[in-house]
Amino acid sequence: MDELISLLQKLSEASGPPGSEGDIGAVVKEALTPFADEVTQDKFGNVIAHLRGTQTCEPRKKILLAAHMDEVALIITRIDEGGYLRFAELGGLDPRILLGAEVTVHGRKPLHGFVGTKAPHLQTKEESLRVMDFEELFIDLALPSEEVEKQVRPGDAATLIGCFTPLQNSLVSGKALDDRAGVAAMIQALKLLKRDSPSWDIYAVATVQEEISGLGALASTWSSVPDIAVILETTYGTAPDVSEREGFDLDQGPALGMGMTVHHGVTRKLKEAAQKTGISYQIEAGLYPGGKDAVVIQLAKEGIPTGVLSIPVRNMHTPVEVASLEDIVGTARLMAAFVADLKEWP
Amino acid sequence: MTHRLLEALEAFSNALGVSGNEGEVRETIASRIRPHVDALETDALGNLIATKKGPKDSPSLVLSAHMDEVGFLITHIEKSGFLRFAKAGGIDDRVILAKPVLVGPKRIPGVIGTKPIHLIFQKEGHKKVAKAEDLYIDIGAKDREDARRLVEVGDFAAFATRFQDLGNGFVKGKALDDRLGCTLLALLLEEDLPLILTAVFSTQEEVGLRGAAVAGFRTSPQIMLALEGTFAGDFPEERDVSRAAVIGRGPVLTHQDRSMIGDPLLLETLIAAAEKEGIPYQFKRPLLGGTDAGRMHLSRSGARASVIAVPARYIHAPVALVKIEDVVNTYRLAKAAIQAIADKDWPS
Repeated sequence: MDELISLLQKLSEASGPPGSEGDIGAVVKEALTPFADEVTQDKFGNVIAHLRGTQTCEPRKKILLAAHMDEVALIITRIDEGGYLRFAELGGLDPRILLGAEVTVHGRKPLHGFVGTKAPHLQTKEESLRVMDFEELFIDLALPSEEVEKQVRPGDAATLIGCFTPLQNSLVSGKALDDRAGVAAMIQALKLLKRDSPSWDIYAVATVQEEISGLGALASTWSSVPDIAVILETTYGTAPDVSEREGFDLDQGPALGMGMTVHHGVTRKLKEAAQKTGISYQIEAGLYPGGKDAVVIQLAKEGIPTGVLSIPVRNMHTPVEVASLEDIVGTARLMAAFVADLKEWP
Repeated sequence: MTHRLLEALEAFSNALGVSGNEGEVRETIASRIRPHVDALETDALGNLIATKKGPKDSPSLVLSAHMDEVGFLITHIEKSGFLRFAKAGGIDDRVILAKPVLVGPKRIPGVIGTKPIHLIFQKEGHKKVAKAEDLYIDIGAKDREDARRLVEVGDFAAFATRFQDLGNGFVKGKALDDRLGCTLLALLLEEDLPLILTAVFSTQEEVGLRGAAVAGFRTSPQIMLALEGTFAGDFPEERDVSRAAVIGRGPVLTHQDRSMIGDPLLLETLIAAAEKEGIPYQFKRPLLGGTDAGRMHLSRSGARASVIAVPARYIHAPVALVKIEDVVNTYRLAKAAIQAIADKDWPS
């Protein structure tokens, strides 16, 4: 478990705004390398780990495992008088979580920024009841405006600063657990699979730009041309304001996606693997489970049979996302058991 | 001097002390000042009161800085193990969503949860301010019983922000209102002073200047100064003519706030001291906020009172920013003010 915590911390703390996944890409590449025959990076930044199968007759069957490594972020839109930065969202963000948050602005060098707040003493009652939208919020770099102009350009990204913290039991909190929890599960699964020597070829891909377009998933599906694919994603965790109808309990195992993006054959095999290994799971029935990557991969080329495993995460798209280490371990074990058991398809 | 100020500010900022629960920060301050004072005691409301003797027949002065910080009080533990809370002190409901906190004397890490934007969007709830009473802290407990191993109703929670020198002339941290004042006061106690100094590190300022009420009675000041961290108002698009205090323009002096009219003669003395020493100073926008001076100037038969404050951005939020130069200049002014007060022949 300590190994997983330290891996997840490294993944969570690395930055990967959509379109600039260099930092997180390096961390993922290093983590995947011991468990793959080859790790490459394509022109969009996808990290692709290839573990060759033992099946002797060519062509070997191929499975694609995909987890996205980009994170929701901000994009600087202009520099105001006084050196204050204005911004818009890069991926879906609730502007209400930003007041009082700390960010890293990825300028010529990383800069520590603060989303400014007005002291309650200076506010009118009306102001205090009004949500501040992106247009009104600003980032303060505590630098003279000439220096800000030198370091930052409109179009630069900013990521939220989260403090990776173990909570009670097996829960941890930090930023970007969507989908670094999925990336961690994928790395752990590959580790188990290297030991198991499965017959299929495995392409474990940490994808870019899921929060925007799914470009990373698209490119990696075309380059690997898998026979089937499984997406490792995150889904909503239950909390006092997220009911059981809306979310999934933490510590109860991954949610198996059911819906348009999912192939029934893959899902059936995932369930069988869960039952065989005794790993608990939940069912997430929704129209398009698995986020943009699932949609894009399923529709690539002649269509790829796709399955989705999602790890429940509370406070999604905030710097204090909460996930269960047990769920990550369960997802990795289920994934590995599923792949190890693959023989013929369908 | 700068190094010593920052070192104390870091220790004081990181210590926990939500109003009514100032034990940890009081111990942090007490252990620092103990070797430098002649008497040190804690009163019934938790105020830490130190006295330092001056030269024979010298006048006396009371300086006050509050130890408490805004935070939360745990009011209920849900069956599911989530903690409900009330705000202690003036916190904008809008700054607390999705922030990390530390709960109780054992500093149990937790986070203030929020419904993900994906689920809110459908109901347009993201256009409403999330009220503190609807929010909850998640410590990762399995259920109520599990939570109660570590947290009790009545415990407090504080923002989990760590102090940091940003390397560009600014530092960041929580509770700079008023650990800035505590820092100045603690370091003044390490100096040779020309008068008898009573230092009050007060409690419960943020919830109605409550510690100062009894500290004022006990210390019966004739002249007193509150040392504060006050809000800077230099925001973009702030149209007001006076932008309240501005970062980098030195200590902030008060004509009048919501709690008092400052003593004119004492204010003139502070201004004269600043000008004599060449220390920049600015004035607070009148009629906003209040300080311990508001309580203490009404002690017994009344006292001459004023405020010297360090301007800081984003106070009462999870993280505030202060310019080191302003801290140093405020310290210089406080020191010069003590000399000026000692030298002056005060009309009775």
